[in-house]
Amino acid sequence: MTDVRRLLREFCEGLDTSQEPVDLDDVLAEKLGEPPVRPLADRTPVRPRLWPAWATAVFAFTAVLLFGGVVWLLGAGRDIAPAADGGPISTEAPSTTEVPSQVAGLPDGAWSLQAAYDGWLRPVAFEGGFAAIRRLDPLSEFFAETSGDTDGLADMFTGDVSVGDIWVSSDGVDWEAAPAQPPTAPWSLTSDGETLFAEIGNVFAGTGEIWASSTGSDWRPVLTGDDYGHLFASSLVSHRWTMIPGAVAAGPPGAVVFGTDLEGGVAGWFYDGDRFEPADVEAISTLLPSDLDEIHVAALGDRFLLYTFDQTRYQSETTLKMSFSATGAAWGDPEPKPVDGPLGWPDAELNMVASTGGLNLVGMNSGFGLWATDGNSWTEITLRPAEDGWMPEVAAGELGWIVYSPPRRETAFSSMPEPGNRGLWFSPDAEVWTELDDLGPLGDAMTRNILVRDDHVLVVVGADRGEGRGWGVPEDPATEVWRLEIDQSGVNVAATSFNAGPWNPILADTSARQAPPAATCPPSAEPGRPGPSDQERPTSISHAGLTAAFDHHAGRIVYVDAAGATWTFDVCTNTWHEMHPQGTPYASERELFDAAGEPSGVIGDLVYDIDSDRTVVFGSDTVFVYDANTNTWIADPNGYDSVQDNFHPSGAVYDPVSGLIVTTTMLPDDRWDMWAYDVDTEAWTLVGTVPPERTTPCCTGTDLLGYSQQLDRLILSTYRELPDEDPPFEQVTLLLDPRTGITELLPPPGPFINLGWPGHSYGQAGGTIFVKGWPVWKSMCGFDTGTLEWTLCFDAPTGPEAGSYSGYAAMVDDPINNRLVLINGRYGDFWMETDAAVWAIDLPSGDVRTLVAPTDGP
Amino acid sequence: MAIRINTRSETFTVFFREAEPLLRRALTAVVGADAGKDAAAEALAYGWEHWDRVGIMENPVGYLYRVGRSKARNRRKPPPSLWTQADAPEPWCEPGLRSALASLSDRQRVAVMLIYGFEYTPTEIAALLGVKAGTVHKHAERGLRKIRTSLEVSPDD
Repeated sequence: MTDVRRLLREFCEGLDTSQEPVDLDDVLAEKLGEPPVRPLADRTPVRPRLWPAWATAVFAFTAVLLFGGVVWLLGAGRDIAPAADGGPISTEAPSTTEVPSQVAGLPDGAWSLQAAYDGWLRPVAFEGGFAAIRRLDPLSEFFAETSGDTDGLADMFTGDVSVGDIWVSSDGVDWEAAPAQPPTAPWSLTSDGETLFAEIGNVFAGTGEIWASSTGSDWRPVLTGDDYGHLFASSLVSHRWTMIPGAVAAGPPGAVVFGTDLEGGVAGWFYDGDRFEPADVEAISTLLPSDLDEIHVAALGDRFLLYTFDQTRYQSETTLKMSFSATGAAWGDPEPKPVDGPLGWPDAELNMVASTGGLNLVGMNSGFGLWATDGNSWTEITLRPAEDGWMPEVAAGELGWIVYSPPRRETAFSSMPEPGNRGLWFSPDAEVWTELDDLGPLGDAMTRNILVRDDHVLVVVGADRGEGRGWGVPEDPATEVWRLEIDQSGVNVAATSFNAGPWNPILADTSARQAPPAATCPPSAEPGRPGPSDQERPTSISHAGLTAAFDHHAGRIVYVDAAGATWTFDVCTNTWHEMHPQGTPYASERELFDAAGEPSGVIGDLVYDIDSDRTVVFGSDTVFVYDANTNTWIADPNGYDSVQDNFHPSGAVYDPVSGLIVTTTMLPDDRWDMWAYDVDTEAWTLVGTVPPERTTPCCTGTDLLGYSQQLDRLILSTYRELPDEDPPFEQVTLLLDPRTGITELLPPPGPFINLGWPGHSYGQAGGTIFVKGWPVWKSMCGFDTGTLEWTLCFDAPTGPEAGSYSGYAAMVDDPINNRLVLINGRYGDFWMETDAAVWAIDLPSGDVRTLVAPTDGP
Repeated sequence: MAIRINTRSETFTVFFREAEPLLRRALTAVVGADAGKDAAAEALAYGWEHWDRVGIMENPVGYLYRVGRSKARNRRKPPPSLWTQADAPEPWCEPGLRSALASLSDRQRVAVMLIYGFEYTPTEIAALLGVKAGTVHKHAERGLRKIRTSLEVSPDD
């Protein structure tokens, strides 16, 4: 007897035995092994300075890494096209930076190198135009763990390594690397409007310098270690964040620099137009931050703000202590202000500091809110979006407010902005805020977008590990659309199309029959009223990916539960009805168990065929058809015999033009076939293969999400391979013309569809296709057929634990009540926990309504 | 001498220990042992490099599987795969089993090996592949059927 499963177990055990696991240390040190590259020209390498042994710490700052490339753009027209005029900032950016010799010179026994990456692009405006510090992808956190050395101590290295450079532009369009650069890459770049200030090295820790320039090219030192080195015996700065910009602030009042020391206390300097001079900081000597936290400075419209927090980061009920100075030369008594709520992420920081119309604004992405002060009293700004968010930089008397919604993850860190689902608001006076209708492709997760506003152009730079992009809009941002011309890779991200290969015209040549009349609710119905909470309901959910389908004629949702039982849900009374039909949607009860023998329910996609008035399940080996009029399931006796081998429908939709059901199945080479199924004749027709040739990096892992009657296009989600990019793929949306096969790839981002655990799910309602969990997992966003973007977003129902639903067993249309019905939220490990509830999202309002309340538990 | 507790590296380490076997085994099923391990290492390195972003994903393993698979498939000179080498059975291997596995599609091979060989659940594999659990079920069943055909055994054997 040959037990194939046993053979497989033995084979895989042998593989495991012969294959060493991936080594964690190798992974952690991976980026340190990249080859060095030529340093930037005209830059004098600075030998990193070896510091005395520290008590218990071993930290080294160094840099490596890939510059992902940043491209900047401005131009006209909605369409996206490769850069013509506004080219990339850099065309010859080094791909990596030199690995400093100190890495090789670590003490014997050093065995662990770990790093975090934090690249960015930060532009500032000054009198001559714009300047930007282009940070490569440095190691912002780098430390070595040692063992076996003589005294148990190790050395600290500073990061005087070229990790970035400065670029200048007179108009924000054409950029070039500054012909002369500071001696090493600056960590921050600020401007008081006239002069640029570059922070080099680490001022906080006493190793850095401030250089100044009026043109971006004529750099000179204005504050060096000679000025302050004698003040510092140690540093109060957390080692982890020593490089965080914040020691320098510049703005209309001028420029200031601050540092702190355990013994020396606070030290500050102000810029007198030539050099930084010591400031009078006696009044703020008590502002020493606790627990190695930092002291921050910021420039407001008519004064400087210095602040710190009196408790460790991430703690609530802390106190914010602030002091103001008109010129930076002398500072007033600190003013405490309680912060109600957790502090920002990743560190406590007032990430909203701005001025407009004589009003100074201070806020943070936490319960602190947004406050305005005239220097005497504080007023909380309430005329702002309800959500928390990040306030970007401000220029020319206008504020930009980027809102992330929902802004917080329920984590200990709090206030971690989610990707996407953003709002952008504008205000000339901090009182009246206008939301920008078209957000454009703003930056990615945890990107602090920066706005620079002049008289004509708004530039948004999202810089997230080399993924910096820029967008321009004309003068009236509230009415104009965004323009993205090129992305950081130079790849043309415009909607592109490719011709179909051989394409069967059946979907163009076939016409749907007259559909049976659609059901309506009786006048007395109260479809908004929840059904009985104690009603019988489907047993658990199917975790096999079964969807539900709305039977237009019956006015009910057809659903098959995990036990294979057929149910319908009356959307007028919000009640479940077990149908006990003749026949089953499976060939044998064995099909109700998965490959591991676990209960799985019926496998397949459920589609209602309108003109045939029947509901179809594409099961494991054949098609089952349900007729609600006769309450009967009938199996297609032909199975998938006439379909290709390995037929796996990855989504199925009804095509109202042809009256046929369209489904796709993946091919071994990652292309996919599209098939049409005629319920009445049980006939399968191969429509075509997409893409026609396996020569394009598109499209792998495709999911058929739905059909847009407005566009007459099938909407699909797929991955586009980007062999030389990082990551090596991106998610894109495909529009496929079912009549011709011509396929259009929309610019990214597209939804990241993952129908595995924790189960993103999708559905269609009101002509809109919705995806749950993208781009924000607590929300669902629909595809806007007007803008061709995923911007129609609603909050999703929350689960027993706040925001815990990761997906739904079904998301289905309720055209009678114009709502999206959600059945059985999934949460917990591998979505086996469910509370068998039904909700609806009212499409016009976005309100979530409970139609059948959850049970007490799974 | 440990000198610092680092949340970022700690969380990644926890993730690594959970995800590495699954990623390595799955990518081995796709491209073979050596290339699979390399792809897993590359994917995990990518995960570490971008942990701030990857770590907050709902399904980081699935994401990194796609990273590893893309890197493996885009390698300009792919190494000989376990599945494409001449059939020279390993000592532990039933003659014909490797070629039977080689005849499966990538997805079928992943499903068959991970479910029947490494005893993962279809739901776990669905998360990894980014497909429905039902699809994994089908891949596994059909893959098993193909192997039985190749080895000329019946389900009852």
